[in-house]
Amino acid sequence: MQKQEIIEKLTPIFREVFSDSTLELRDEMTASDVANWDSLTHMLMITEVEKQFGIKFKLKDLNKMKHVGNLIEVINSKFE
Amino acid sequence: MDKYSFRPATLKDIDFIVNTIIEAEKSGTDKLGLATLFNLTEDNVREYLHQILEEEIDGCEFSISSFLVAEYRGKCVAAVGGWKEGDNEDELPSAILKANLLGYILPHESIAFTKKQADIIKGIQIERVWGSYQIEYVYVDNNHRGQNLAGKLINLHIEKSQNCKNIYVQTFSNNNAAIHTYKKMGFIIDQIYTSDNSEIEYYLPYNRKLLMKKTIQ
Repeated sequence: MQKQEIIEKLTPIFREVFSDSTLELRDEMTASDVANWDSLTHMLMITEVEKQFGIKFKLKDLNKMKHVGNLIEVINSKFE
Repeated sequence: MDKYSFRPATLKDIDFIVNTIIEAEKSGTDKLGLATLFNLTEDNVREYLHQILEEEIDGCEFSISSFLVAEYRGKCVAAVGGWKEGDNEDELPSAILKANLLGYILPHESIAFTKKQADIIKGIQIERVWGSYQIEYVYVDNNHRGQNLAGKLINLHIEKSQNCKNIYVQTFSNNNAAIHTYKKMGFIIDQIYTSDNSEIEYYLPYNRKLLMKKTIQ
């Protein structure tokens, strides 16, 4: 899966979950950069990503996701 | 006090730690946020907390390594959790570690259920200060109260906290016994968080939380 393709699919999920219709994803973006990114919305975002991409993360994968760039890499690895 | 001994919790103490989390969450009431917010029964919560603690992820309130226990005649009678915020293998905020554990273990329909409840708890979600020491989940068995076991365990955490300048503990503002204990130990009220959502009483023990702080000189 191409990185751009992943970003295009991720953006509406982020905008919906974090209630920000103009949110633009950047590799280095973390929870502290997004107003509504807390433990509850983080869970919702992860489950929505799993649902939309048809994948299941391992706990190890989840804990390696320090920023959006890591999330994209992990999603990509599921399609390799 | 010689009859009590203190040590870090291990996987063998899981039942007691699960109980500690549940009782501390209820804060003397019958409202268990982990059940009400995720549409689970208390038995479900017990089972999922077991699985979560067995993952042995360090650095948050659902880490077996965060807990210290007090033992009496070979049996756990008190426990207190604590960790340095951000001091974990992946340098993640504890809120994210906790969310990853819940998201990984709980059924998707439980996570989806919380979507509707997010607004209810918004006002009393407290962000943890990076690099500070966090005390979370304090519990003493009924038969062993009045022995200052919570205070002893919190002091052992403070000894472990090394170069953390600030120690934080959160409590619902109706938990007078806890507030009294923390004040006696030198904690002061740092901030008050209130939810104006009238539905909160169906989900959580109280609508107001205190963030208490102790600064180490």
